[in-house]
Amino acid sequence: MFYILYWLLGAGWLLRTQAHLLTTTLLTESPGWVLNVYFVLVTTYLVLHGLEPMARMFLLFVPLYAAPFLFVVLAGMSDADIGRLLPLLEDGVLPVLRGTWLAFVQGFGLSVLWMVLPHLRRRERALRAALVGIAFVALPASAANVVMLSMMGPREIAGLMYPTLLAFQLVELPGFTGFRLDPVFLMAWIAMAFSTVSLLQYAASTALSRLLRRPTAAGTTWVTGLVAAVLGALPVGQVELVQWGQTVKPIVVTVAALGLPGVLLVCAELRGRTGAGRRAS
Amino acid sequence: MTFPGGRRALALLALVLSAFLLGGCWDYLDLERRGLVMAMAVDTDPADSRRLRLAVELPAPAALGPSAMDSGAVREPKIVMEASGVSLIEAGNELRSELEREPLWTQVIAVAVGEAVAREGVARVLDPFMRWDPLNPRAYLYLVDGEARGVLRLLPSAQPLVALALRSFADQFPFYPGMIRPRDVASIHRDLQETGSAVAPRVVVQEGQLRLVGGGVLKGGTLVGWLDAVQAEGTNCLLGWVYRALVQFDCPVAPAGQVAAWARLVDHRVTVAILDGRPRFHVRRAVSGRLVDLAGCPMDPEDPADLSRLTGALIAAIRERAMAAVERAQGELQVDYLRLGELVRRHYPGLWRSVDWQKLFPHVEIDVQVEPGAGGIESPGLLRRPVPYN
Repeated sequence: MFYILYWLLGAGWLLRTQAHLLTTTLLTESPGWVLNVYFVLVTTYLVLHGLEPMARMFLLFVPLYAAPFLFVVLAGMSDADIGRLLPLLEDGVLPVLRGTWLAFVQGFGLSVLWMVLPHLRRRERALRAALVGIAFVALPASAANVVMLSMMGPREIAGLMYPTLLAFQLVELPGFTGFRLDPVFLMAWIAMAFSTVSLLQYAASTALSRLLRRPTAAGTTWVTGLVAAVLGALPVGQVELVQWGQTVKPIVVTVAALGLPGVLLVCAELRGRTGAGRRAS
Repeated sequence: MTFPGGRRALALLALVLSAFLLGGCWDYLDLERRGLVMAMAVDTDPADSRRLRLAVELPAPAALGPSAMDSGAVREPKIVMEASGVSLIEAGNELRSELEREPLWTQVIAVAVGEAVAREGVARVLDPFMRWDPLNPRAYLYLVDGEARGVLRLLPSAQPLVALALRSFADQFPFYPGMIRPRDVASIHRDLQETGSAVAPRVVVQEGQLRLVGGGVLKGGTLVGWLDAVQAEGTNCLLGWVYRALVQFDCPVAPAGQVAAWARLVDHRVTVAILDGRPRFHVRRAVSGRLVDLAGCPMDPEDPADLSRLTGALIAAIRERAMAAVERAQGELQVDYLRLGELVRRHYPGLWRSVDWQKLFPHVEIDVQVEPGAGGIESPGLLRRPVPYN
């Protein structure tokens, strides 16, 4: 139940953030929930077809995500001043570790991996592929973070709602004065959000179908889609999302991705040993 | 009754129909109903100094279409409209009562801020640009010596719009560092946030002509003084923004003669050391040069002694400009727009926390060293000796 709630809240969180992002930038007059409903209809359609079509679809998204980030990293380097990262350890090691933790718990990758891994036949190969997948996301994201910090400085970044969006807005293509690249960022964002919401919905719907002992997950997929859309429509402001993202979310994600799986692993190990001991005696 | 592939066909139809929604039901607007705002000029309202008066420049669609060509009527290529409001956004919204097209703000490429507004503080302009997404934070910021609206009213000779003329000046900066390097709103906002000061190019209107010369110094977001062309060039140099510049200097052997050289930056380093508890700055610039004018200067660049004197004079001229910027910053203005304090903050955070940089900056030692890079004056140009006549 905890994980079903966790995944649904995660999907709702992303949908709410996306609604804010789209209504702040591109579709300023459109109600956010309408955009979300359309989005969830498409994720539900994909989730109904199972894990394999999802994996294939996400593979298609990789260049959509990696290419714009690589481009903004290269374009931003001309205006970057690496000295803006200094003084690195002004207040000691803890703030750096906290910042790293905050950055990396914004993703749901690890907890989703625990959910998906049992469904795969060749786990060792799948684990390697999953780690490569995480690297695909983490490396461009880390590079983009460093370049953005070098471009804008930590103080400026801390004061921005969507620093990556601004980084895209500031890139100018020679010969295209006035041409803005923020739609490219939105494209990458939507691809990422679509992948994550689909996976979270898949995880929640399969868990719910097992809990309810349903033969298929079709019904629960529609239910989880509806719940995610409703959660994404709750009147939560941008500022609250950012604040919760720095206070509540890191704890919840850490518990769900490392804490509980760790406890379960230890319990399973202990049970295994006890069982093995009994069998031996 | 069912038919093969019916569900697939329905799904496909649903996807095709959904494409009609992609423009959004609420945000859809035809391009021909939009008015592209290209430049903005912000002044204080003469009727009420607490209000802002916003002038905008848009290309005139009627002047560009084929009907305008056929009719033979001469139309101005642009529309300039004005409105006032307590804020920039309100003034912009007021324009809707006159503008026959929906304003599209994302295309703003130049923002000219009048002197009166700048002296009160540019926050009233920068905040909406950074906060409201339709405004373009990549628009370049210019400080106008006087009223800004007059700038937009001009009809540039070689460009249809003032916005494009201002942008063209920005493109020419790499060859003309006599103006502060034009930069976007986001960069100036970042500088003000980071160091509390920033510089922006100065726009003047002289005999009906637009001119970019020197710059303005912003301290805490308010304009505190102007920089002339020499000080601006020195500032650009010390900030590491200049990679080549035309340097004009007196001929070492005949002061009436002038020498011109294109100087190229080979190396630029600013370091800080702490001596007796105070920071001491060392700016090292290495330059090479290419002679482009030696008329009236009877010197032979092939002669090592003459070449050495020419190189020395070039270096002295560059150093003089840098020192002009240092003296302006530490002297009358007492504003660290050279970003030296940032260097202390980055490398000596403990010291930075213990000093009052505003008070200390005018008294710190700044040593500017300009030296010839590899090759010094590397080329006498295509002519090996000065022309022998006159």
